[in-house]
Amino acid sequence: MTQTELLIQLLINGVTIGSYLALIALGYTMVYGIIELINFAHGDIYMLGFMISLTLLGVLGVRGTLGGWELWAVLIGVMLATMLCTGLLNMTIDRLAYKPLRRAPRLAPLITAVGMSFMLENLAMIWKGSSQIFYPNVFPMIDIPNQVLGMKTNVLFTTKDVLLIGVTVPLMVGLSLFIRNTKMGKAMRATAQDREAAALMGIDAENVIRTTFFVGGALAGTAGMIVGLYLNTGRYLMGFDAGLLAFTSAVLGGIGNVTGAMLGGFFIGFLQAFSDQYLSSEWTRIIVFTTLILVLVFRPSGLLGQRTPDKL
Amino acid sequence: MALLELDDVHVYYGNIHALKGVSLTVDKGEIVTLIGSNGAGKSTTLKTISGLKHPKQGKITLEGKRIDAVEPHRVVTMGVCQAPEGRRIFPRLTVLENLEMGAFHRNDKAGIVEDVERVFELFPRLRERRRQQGGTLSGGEQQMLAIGRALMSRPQLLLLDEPSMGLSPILVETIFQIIQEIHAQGTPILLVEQNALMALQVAQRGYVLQTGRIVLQDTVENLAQNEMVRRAYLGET
Amino acid sequence: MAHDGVESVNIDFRALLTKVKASGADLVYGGFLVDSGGPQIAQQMDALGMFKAGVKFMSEDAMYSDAVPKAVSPEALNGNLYVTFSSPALDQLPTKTGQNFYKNYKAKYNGDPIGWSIYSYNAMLVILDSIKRAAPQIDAAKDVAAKRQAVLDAMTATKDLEGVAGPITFDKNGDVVTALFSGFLFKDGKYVWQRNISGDMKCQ
Repeated sequence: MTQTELLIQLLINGVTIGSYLALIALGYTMVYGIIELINFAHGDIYMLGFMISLTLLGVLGVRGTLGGWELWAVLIGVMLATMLCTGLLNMTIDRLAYKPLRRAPRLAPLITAVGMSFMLENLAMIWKGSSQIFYPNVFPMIDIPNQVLGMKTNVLFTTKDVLLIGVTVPLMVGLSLFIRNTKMGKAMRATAQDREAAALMGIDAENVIRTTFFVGGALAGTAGMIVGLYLNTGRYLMGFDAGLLAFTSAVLGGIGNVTGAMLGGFFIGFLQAFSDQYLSSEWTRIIVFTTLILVLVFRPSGLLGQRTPDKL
Repeated sequence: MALLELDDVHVYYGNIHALKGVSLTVDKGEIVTLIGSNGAGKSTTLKTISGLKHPKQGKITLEGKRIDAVEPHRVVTMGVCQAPEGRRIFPRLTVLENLEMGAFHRNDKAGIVEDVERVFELFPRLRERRRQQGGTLSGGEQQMLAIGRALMSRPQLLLLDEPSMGLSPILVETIFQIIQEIHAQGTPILLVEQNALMALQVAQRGYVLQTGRIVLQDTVENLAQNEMVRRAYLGET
Repeated sequence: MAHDGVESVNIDFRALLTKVKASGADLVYGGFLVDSGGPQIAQQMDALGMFKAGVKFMSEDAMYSDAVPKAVSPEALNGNLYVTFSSPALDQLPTKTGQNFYKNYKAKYNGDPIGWSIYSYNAMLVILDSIKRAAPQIDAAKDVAAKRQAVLDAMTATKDLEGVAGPITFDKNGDVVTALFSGFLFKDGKYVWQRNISGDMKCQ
């Protein structure tokens, strides 16, 4: 592998890791923006997206690689169903665990979120076991530069990378457009900026919060499914790990800021790819969290944040 | 039947008894002002009408319908909208988006466009700045935006909380002219003001609130003659 | 030669494996458990085309499990996965105890035992044997603590007990004196015994 090939490969790795982290980070940042809660259970919604889509594929009897219309029908069908399930699940979690604490001191829902995270992880462990879980290799893997473009290179860029980016990036763009242009999106921003004033304008804050949890859950669920298709493996604790990095991405980008969360996700993705290569993967987490600390010290509102995030 | 009626409304913040039996009415076609010093309960009264606070005792009716247990966003749908104290515009929404939020419960696109136009006619400054973020506006412009935003819901009753606060004397004049114009176009207004002098000029009737109680109610002409009002609120010695 | 570490909860090792790939390494050795990323490493080595490029993967007894070929297709692993394990091939177990264990295990669970099953079976043998040998002392002991001590004493004195893969004897540190190690290669859908590894366990 030449240095150039290596560099390209690292960029590809960074983008792929970053794209699913960014998709998860959006849920953290949106919920924080509206109710100032770090929803620690959010990473586990991503994990459940993996589990639920896996179960749905099992119900459909999908075990191996598909092709043609069957592939797209299964992918789109399972993805929509997964989004619906994780979205509703996230909404239910809010209803049961966080809504009764809406007026309580901030620490109460925060601790509840940590508890909710443990609960979901353990339920998933009971449901699917504690070992790693294999996800069927549904999506065909074709080495694009070598097999399609006829190049001779050691850079690995496959149809699976295309799938990952092709799903996550449009979803992020779609969410940005939704928040920027739709009435509900504007109401979400208004509620995030001033909940009482929003209520005085006739905006039902609870409805906005429900929508936020639904959208965040659906995005995290999609990330779980896509990672399943991409890595073909997962585990009940996968949400803890990815959630921590995604949360860091959200804070790095400026928590509450949607564009910032996406930027933060890609930033962490690149950081991970380059640190694994040039330092050591044992150091990667230290690098990630040190960067977070540095950003918070020198730019407390994150890269794109508009206000100082409240201390936890 | 009065448009809005508060009947013996008691409101508490925890143990603090903020409103101790407030009764007042606003009729169609009126500007009614509520004057009083800081902490008298003026804003609390408006918050309670808007549903942000719920009275522990007493009732509030809008055209005979009880609204004292209604959630704030439903109160707007029923026809009462407030430009709150401190303006509370959405700082990172554009002027246009702020106005759209005022019309949140409406679905008549054509009507909304028409009303945005009407607000821009009232406040030409806002038209110039319609793509600007609310937070970048000056204090006076923000107040205009807050009033315009409240008008976007096509309220049957407009609640204004301290619209003159923090504004230069010229801007205060402008704002009060516009208040009269809005009234002339047919929207009744309940106006809360510390600037009693201005308030008594534009309103027809007034109430004086002291430590959670209505101590005086009369036409503005009589209030302006009242010894206590002159001393306490009009700055005469 | 290079050394690196991973987080046990991580599932995405592509960045690390890209580094290994770029380094031109011939072999990846990882002390993994089946639950701590081992199968994922094998799977992602396959996905990155490392097996095709001739890189081998080696791990220890905890990866002597069906979980690995389940994660990666047996074809991709063929000839590419080595594991070490403290036993000879299961069908060449030298002791009667071992042969019986293998036969009964297969009959009961309908599959080959993994590394842990053999270890726990051996451990149970040691415990039962210790209790048996300590029986007189246990009877004579005055309280529970003394009974426990009697069993523990008998356990450390274990000598030439016939275990699954050979006699078990502990030294004064409680280590097994005679340990038989062998290397396996995953081939044709199963782990195939390759050769025994020096039994003196001395570090060089």
